[in-house]
Amino acid sequence: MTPASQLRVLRRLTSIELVGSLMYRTQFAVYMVSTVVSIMVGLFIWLRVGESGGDLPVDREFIVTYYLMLAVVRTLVSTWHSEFLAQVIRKGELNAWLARPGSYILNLLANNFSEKIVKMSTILPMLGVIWWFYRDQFALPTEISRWLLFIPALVGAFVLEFCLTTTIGSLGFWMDENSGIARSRHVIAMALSGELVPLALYPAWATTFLDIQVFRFTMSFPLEVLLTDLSSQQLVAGFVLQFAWLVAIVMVCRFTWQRGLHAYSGIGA
Amino acid sequence: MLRTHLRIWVHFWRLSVARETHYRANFLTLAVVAILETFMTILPMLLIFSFTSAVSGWSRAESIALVGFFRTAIGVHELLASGGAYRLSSDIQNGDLDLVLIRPVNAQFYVACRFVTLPQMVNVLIGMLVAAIGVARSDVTVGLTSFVQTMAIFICGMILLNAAILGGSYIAFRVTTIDGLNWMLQDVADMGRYPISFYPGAIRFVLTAIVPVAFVTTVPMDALRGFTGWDTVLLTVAFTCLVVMLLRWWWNNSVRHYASAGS
Repeated sequence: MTPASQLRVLRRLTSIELVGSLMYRTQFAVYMVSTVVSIMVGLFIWLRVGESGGDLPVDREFIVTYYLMLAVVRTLVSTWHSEFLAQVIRKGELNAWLARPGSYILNLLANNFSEKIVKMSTILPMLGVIWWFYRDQFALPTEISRWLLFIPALVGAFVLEFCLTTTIGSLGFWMDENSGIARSRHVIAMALSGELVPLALYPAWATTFLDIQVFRFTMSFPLEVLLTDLSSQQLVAGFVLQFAWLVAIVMVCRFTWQRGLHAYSGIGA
Repeated sequence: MLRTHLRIWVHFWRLSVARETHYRANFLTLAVVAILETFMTILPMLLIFSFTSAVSGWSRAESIALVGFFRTAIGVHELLASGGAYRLSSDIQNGDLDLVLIRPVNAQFYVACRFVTLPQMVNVLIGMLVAAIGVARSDVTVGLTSFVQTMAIFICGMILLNAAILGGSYIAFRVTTIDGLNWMLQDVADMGRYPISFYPGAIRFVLTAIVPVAFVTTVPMDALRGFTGWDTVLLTVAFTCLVVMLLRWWWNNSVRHYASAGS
């Protein structure tokens, strides 16, 4: 298939998935409450630490803006299909897609895009309520350049996250159960992506490792680009590293998927 | 009757052992995940107390002990009750609950306890270990009275927490699906990994009265630190009895909405 026809299929699949997603609006709203709750824990805790006299390297304004924007970035970037994909492989439900011109990956992408549209429309009003309480401390940058750099960092973060999730899901070609691996990835990513605690709050001795590891580029890096004063040297280094990780993970994902398709017996398990 | 239910419960454990020996690698992975999750719960505490010596009257060691209580309670919930609560929604949708309701056993017990998640034993053991280490490293002196008070509140707290999550799962009798609600309750319960005095007032109310995770973390730790007396223990026991009765009523009321075969 040509890229143009793949895009056409993707657009069509996204419309279909969107209709399906809109049927479960309440369900998505509850999921989004869950997302907001888990992220706001960090906001409350670190504000309390600051109030208790904690000598933090960041100010109150950064904490409020970071966690509110983290909720947005997490909604736009996070993917969840690893266990779902493994199940489709195990049950032999991939067969129908192998007979079609488009790849099943397109369907996963369409599902992601459609759910992101619904999720964003439900999470933004919730964040608006929290913003109202902390509006005096919420400060987004006004420089256009930061927003222009934020967008590619965000897109890179999504592609990385999508390929990591697809790779773990593809293990379903060989494994009966991949939920343990998926959960391990989730737990490790929570700590290393800046979702649990902003990477700026980790001790100095961990900085080098935190700066180069892959999970930084799935969540923290877009926020760093937007909210911190990274020097041009740090920006270039960050984008180069994100791109390097992107190339590596895309190759691993592609390799795993293609090898998996060769190993796929199509009768379910 | 009690003996019959105990025998059934032992059978659920046997089934779990059989299941987990089939997926041995997954069992090991989930055990590793349990260790990782405990570390991830302790990590923010270590970072917080690298900037200050106390937050809202809590020292680092006391906060780590609280994490231990939290992990133990969540481990017990996931070991004994979460599997059943998660499956209730699909059982109702598919009409599979028929097969539970016609059995000569208390259906509420069966639904809640039928799925023992054995790998969560690791969480329980690690949680107890972390709690012991935290208490040992803190300035808290554990006397017999404070220990009994702590255990009484903690056991009541586990009943309260499980009742809240199971009670939430019974909403599945009235709506199409409650997967999101289960997630939300778990995420709210997850807030209990910090002392509730770290949160604003409204959140403290939620963590005490609605998803009462405070009764497995902050309240027992306060008892251990000698900040509460028998009056708190008695109030907690009374509150637990009330919630258990409410849960029983809520189940009976919810089952009446079950229309069988994919309602």
